[in-house]
This record gives sequence, C-alpha cells and structure tokens, in this order.
Amino acid sequence: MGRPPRAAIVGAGHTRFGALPEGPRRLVRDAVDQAVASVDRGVDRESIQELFLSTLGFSGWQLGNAASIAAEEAGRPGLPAVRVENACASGGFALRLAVDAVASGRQDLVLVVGLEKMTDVPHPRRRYWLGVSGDTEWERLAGLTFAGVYGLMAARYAAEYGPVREALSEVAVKNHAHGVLNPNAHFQKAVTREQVSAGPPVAAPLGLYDCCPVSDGAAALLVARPDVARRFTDSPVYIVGSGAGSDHLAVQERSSLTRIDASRAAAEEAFRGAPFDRKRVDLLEVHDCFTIAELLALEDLGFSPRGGAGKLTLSGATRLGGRLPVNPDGGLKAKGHPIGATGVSQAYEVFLQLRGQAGARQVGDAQRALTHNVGGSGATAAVHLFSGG
Amino acid sequence: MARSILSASLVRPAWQLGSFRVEGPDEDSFTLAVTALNRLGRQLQGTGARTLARLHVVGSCSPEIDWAFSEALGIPGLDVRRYPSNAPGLWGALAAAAHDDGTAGREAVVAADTATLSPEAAGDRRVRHSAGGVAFLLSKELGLSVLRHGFRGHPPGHSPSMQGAITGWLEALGLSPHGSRGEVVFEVEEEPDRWQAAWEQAAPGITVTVVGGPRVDVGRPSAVEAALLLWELARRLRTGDTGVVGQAVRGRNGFSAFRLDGPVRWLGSWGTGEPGLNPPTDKFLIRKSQLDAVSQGAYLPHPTYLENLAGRWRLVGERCPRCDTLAFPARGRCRSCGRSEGLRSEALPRVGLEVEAVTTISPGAQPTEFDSMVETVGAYDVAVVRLQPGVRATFQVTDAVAGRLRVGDRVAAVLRRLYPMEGEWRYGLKAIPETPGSTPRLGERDPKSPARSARRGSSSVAPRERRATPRGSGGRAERRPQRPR
Repeated sequence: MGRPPRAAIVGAGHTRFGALPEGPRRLVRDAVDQAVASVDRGVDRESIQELFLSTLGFSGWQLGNAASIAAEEAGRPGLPAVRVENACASGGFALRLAVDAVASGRQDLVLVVGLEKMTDVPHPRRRYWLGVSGDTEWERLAGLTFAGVYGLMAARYAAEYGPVREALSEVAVKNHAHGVLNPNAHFQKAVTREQVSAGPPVAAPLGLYDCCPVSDGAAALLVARPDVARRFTDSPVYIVGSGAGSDHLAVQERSSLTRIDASRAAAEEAFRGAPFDRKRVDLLEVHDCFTIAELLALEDLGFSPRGGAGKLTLSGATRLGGRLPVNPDGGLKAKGHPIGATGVSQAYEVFLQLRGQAGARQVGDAQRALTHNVGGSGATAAVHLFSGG
Repeated sequence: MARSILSASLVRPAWQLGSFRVEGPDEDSFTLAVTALNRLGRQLQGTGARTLARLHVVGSCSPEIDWAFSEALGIPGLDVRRYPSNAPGLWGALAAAAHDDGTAGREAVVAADTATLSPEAAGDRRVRHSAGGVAFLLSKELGLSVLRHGFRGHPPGHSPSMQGAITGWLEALGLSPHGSRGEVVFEVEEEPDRWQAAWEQAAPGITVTVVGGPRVDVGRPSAVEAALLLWELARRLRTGDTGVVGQAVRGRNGFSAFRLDGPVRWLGSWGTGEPGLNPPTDKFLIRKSQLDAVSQGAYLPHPTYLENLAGRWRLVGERCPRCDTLAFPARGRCRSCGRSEGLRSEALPRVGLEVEAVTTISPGAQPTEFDSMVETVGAYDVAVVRLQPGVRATFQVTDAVAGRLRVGDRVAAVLRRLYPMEGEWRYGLKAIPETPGSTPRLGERDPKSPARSARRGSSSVAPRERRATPRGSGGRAERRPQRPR
C-alpha cells in the first residue's frame, strides 16, 4: 500500500480572499488564530516548533526577513522561521518544507503560513510586481506579463489541438459556480459562458474572465508528525505524497509551449510510492491562474490525455457532482490568488473536504485529493497528495 | 577619388496612426542605421565583399554608443567615425570614405536619423516628419564611378543670377554646362520653379529635377534627405551618364554637391513607400524626464544588459561541440549535456522565422515599462518564434497592426528601442511580419483602415510630396522622378 504518511495536517485557518481592509500582519494573525482554534483537541502555541512563511513579498513592504513578523503575529516570537519564495508556488513549497521538517523527525509540529497583500498598492506599482516572477530578460522585456505568457500558451494550444474558447469559458463558469459556494472566495458570483467569452481582451486569446483576480488573503496549516497527529485530532488529513519540479524560467526555452514539465515532474514524484494512483483521486485543487492553466494542469498531472482537457471540462466531469471535481473552492479564478497564500489555501480546502467540513461545496465521500501549485508560467511546481484519516 | 557606390540600402520606417504614417516610436538613429547596414550586408552576401573596417555615421545618435555599432553589426574593432546629421555632414562623410587610405571596399557610409520635433512643430501639420536610414558601401574595385565633391559659395552681399550660380557650380564639379549630358537632382528651399527654369536654360543637356519648396524646416533629418537624393540618382545612372546630386545651401548662396559618373552598379536595393506626414502630436518626443527616471519596470542592471548583447542584438546562440545541441540564448553551458567548455557561438537566422505562438497585449496588460509606448500605439503583439526546430525566441511585434499575426506566419527580427532605463535606451530585437497577405506591414495598404482618403488630401500641405521617392523592393525599376508641376 505504499509508504506510510509523511505528515498530517491537524489544523487549518483561512481568511477571506479579496480586496480586504486588513493589513498583512492582521491577515497572518487571523489565519493562524483560526488554525489554532480548529484543532479538535486544542493546541498550545508553545508546542509549535518552526514556522514557514510563504509570500512573494508583493509591493516590497517587507521583502527581507518577513518570517520574523509572521512569528510575532503567530504569537511565537523567537520561533525558527523562514520565508519561502517560489512565486505563485511559494505555498506548495512551504508545505513541502514543513512536511520534510516533520517527516525527518526534526520537529513534531510546525506552522505553515501563506500570505499576500496585493490590493493596497497603486496601480502601476501593482503591475510592476505582477510581472516580477517571469523571465525578465526575454519575456518581460518583450512586453509580457503572465497574462501574456499564458496567452501565448493558449494560442499555441489552440494551434495544436483546435478551438479552445468554449473550454476556457467553461473553466471560468465552473470555478465561478464553485466560488458562489465558498464564503471565503473573492468572487461569489456566477458567470455565463457568454459573459466570459465577451469579456474585455487582456492578452488574446485570454480575456478578463480568463484571469484570476488580484487578491489579499492568508491561510495557515498546522502540520504534525503522523505518529503524534492523533494527540490533536481524531481526523487528521495525511500527506502521503509530495513532489516538486522546475523548468526553464522563460517559456521559449522549454520543450513545449503546451506542457508544464515542472508539473509533470512534481506529479510523478508525488505519486511515486503513494498509497493510491490517479484513478482513486476524488478531487483536485489545481493552479488555474488563467483558464488555460487548468486545462494544462489536467493534462500535465495525468488526468487527461494531451489535448483532451477541454473535452473533459465541457463534459461536466470536473464540476462539483462530476466524476472528478476540480477546484471545488472556486480555484484561483474565483476564490482569488493572493500569491503566497494560494498553495496553503489549496491544502486548507483539502483539509475541509477530506474531513467532510466543506459545507455546500462538499465533494461527497472525498477520501483522497491532490493539490497542484505552479510558480509563474511553470518555472516551478509542487504537487501534494492527501488522504483522510 | 575613384570609388564607386557598390551597393546601398534604404530603410524608411513607416507607422500608421490614423491616416498618417510616421516613424515608429521604437526607432531611432541607431536602430535605423543598423537596419540599413544589415540590409546592405544581406545584399552583399555571396559577392565577396569583405568585412567592414570603417563606418562613417551621419546621424544624431550619441557618440557614446560608437561601440554599439561594432556590437550590433558583429564586427569587432570597427572604426566608427561621426559626422553631423545634416547634408554637409553626409557630403563630408562621403568625401572621407572616398579618400583612399587602404581600406578600399571596406568602408560604409550610413545616414540615419529621425526627426525630433519640438512641441510647437509637432502641432504644425505642415512639418515633414521624415526619418530613415540609408547605407552606402564604397568601393574602388569596380572603378566605374567617380565621386567628386564640390562646393561653391558666394561672398556675402554678392548675389549672382541663378544661371550664373549654376554655371559656377557645374564648373566646380568639372562639368561643362553646355557639353555635359546627365542628370542633376537639386534641392532648394525657396523658389523651386524658378530654379527649375534656370537649370534648364543654363545646362540644356542635363535633365534636372528640382525638389523642395516652402516648408517649415523643423525636425527634418536633412542628412537622410540628402542621402535619399544620392540614392535616387545613383539608381538611374547609365553608362556615360553623369549625375550630380546636391543641395543649395542657404538660399542661392552656395551649392554642395557630388558628381557621379555612371553606371553605378547596384547589387540590389530595398526601399519602402513614400514618406508621410507626422501626426500632430508630441507623443513621439523623447521626454528627458522619462529617460532619466528610475524605471518602475522590470529591472535589468546595466552590466547584465551588456552581458549578452550578441544574443540580444544579433541572435547569436551557442552550439555544443559534444552533443551538437544549439541553444538560445547562450548561457555558457549546454542545455542538453551540461558541457561548458568549447561551446561555439553561432548566429541564428533573423529572417523567415515562423511564429509558434502569438498573443495580443491589450492596453493595461503591458508591463509598466511599456506604458508610454502603449499610450502611443495601443495594443501590441508578442510572439514566440522558431529560430530552428526546438530553438525559440520571444519578440514584441512592431510595425504591424496588433491582432493580425497568426501562428505559422513568418517574421524577421530587427533591432529596435525597447524602453528607457536609468538614462539610457535599452535596445533589443523585435519582430516585423514578413508573411505577405496575412498581416499588412504598417504603411502598406490596410483594407480595414478607414482613413486613406484623408492621407491623400495631405499632399496639399506637403509640397515636397511631389518628389518621387523610391518604393518597393523592385531592385532596378527605372522610375524617373516626377517634375514639379
């Protein structure tokens, strides 16, 4: 049945995502407080031994040494703490480090915090920061931000596999429909395919509704060594696979414009020795920063043949109630994408889903889940596999 | 003084904004010169022409970037000499290049500039907003032509008749007014019709084209205009013909000219359509504050920018001697096998590049460093192009209507200005469409453009429009210039 679990999530917290009045310190505090309060049998903050803060440092308000602020706001100044940065995949990589910290036996209980405060920045400065994780020398200086890079990937995808507009629109429609059911989501409003297709152009073929929003938010996880997890709860969520990969920063240097090989590598590593295979996964949390990214993810992660993700999406299989619900929390598209918080937020959703606590968006009898977190246009990626207690 | 013009190339940038054609906002004296020289180099491929040793630059680009010519052309140690960006500057450059000092066939003259308009001039619709680059390679090997420089002025207060002035000028060039056959292109600012008549009377054997007329003489890169005259005339000369190209200096007081004895051998030529009017806007002005500003854009430190200019400007990649993998950009280590010793630089093709993917960046979606460009041009395309199978580059698309380029179309890479950072313009390659039909080059007929009729009407405010200008890439088309009516 594969190797034993490497780590267990015993508590999780999540602020609202959106344009929020709270500043970054307050967001960290709220997410950590919630995570602590969520532990069924309670947890003494003093028993938290290390902290991993995932944040890009958007706006540069505290680019260096931000982890010490997170330790302060977690109520544990003095804790060993480090900021983890892999652009939009920061959260997935922070979780991976947390898993290693407990799986190695070095720590019993660690805290993962994902944070980004993005909306308090004047518009030009925001646009500057939105592009800092792409390739500066070749892509950015050709006039591309991430919307442009994913626009190129979508254009190439359409050239190789045929028209893709309907499927892209369906990704947005589905994730907005899921967002309606998530009280933390940035957008809790349904959209139609016609609205999506008629949205203002941003980076053709991508329009406004193909892009995730700029959001504030934070999420936190308490990650424990599996053999001590039941001290905290009867229903821990086990992390049974962790994989990561990287690729050339610039899309032009990659082997294909329609694949994210970092995702493929991360999924391969995560499934290697895992107690279940792709067929037994009940739900996916994938990195849909742009609608095309969800199609690529389904293919890169091995849940769809190449060029088949559009058909799979249009079949309804990836909706709540479908065969393989994807992004039941609304995904980056509707829930929002506070960069450093996203990977942590995906694990938060899985924590709820596998414990049957996801409310209106609960995936029936969810036992096994996958999270997929991509940095930028695919320069880095992290994949985790989870199973319920 | 026995060098012929071996070849020449002409670059006329054309940008369409509404009904007007002007230069693109990403071109300047440097990029136009490099583009003209690159075209010249392509024409000379296979002719046995040797690498340039000396380059005479007539243009306004800063002498501080003389090294950049060497880098952009890929000619180490190129001797770059500079001349003022005006007609006398061009004549001086030609005279210097024609002087034989052992670099025969290895000297080129390039005149390239854009007009920088003052805000007042920019609002004046009569102002011609010319820009372009013209490159000449001079060689004595063909021995067919003579370049002879003549100038004659008149003492202050002495104003000879027009005919008398003409006779004097021709004598200065060693030509007999009555015994010579040939052609003169004469540029003058005032009274072009009277000058036309005077030439016809003074030198009946010579076909004369007078160009000029009243204009607001602001922002016109006169070196380029002078080079265009030479270019046009040289194209037409046949065996036994004599040609004179010249400009009147300050009214009728002086005449600066070159004499050419035909034929001039043309290996090919390239030109674009007629020049256009500038738009009544000051958006093309380089704002010094903008150039000096610390960019909010993606930061590329100056030394890092300089690190791989061969790649940035000339698409030089590297090939691994062990596994033969060709990679771009060069990073000093083979992508495939990891080898870092003995990698060979290899220039990738810059024309006929296939578009693998293209997106259109709508205003607002651009990185901040392109904000001022977007203010002027609006949406723009960015394409990933195939340099070789498996080797790609990402280029902004320029000189094109956004949203027309398609996957599979062909583009060429040209050097352009990217954006200002910390007091300097950063240059890099952009793509221009070259697939006929699918994507109109700006300046070509665009069936969707509603505004051509307005453009035709513009000739009434542009007397110099009367001058025929070489167009098309037709090589040896024998078009005669129109005479002013």
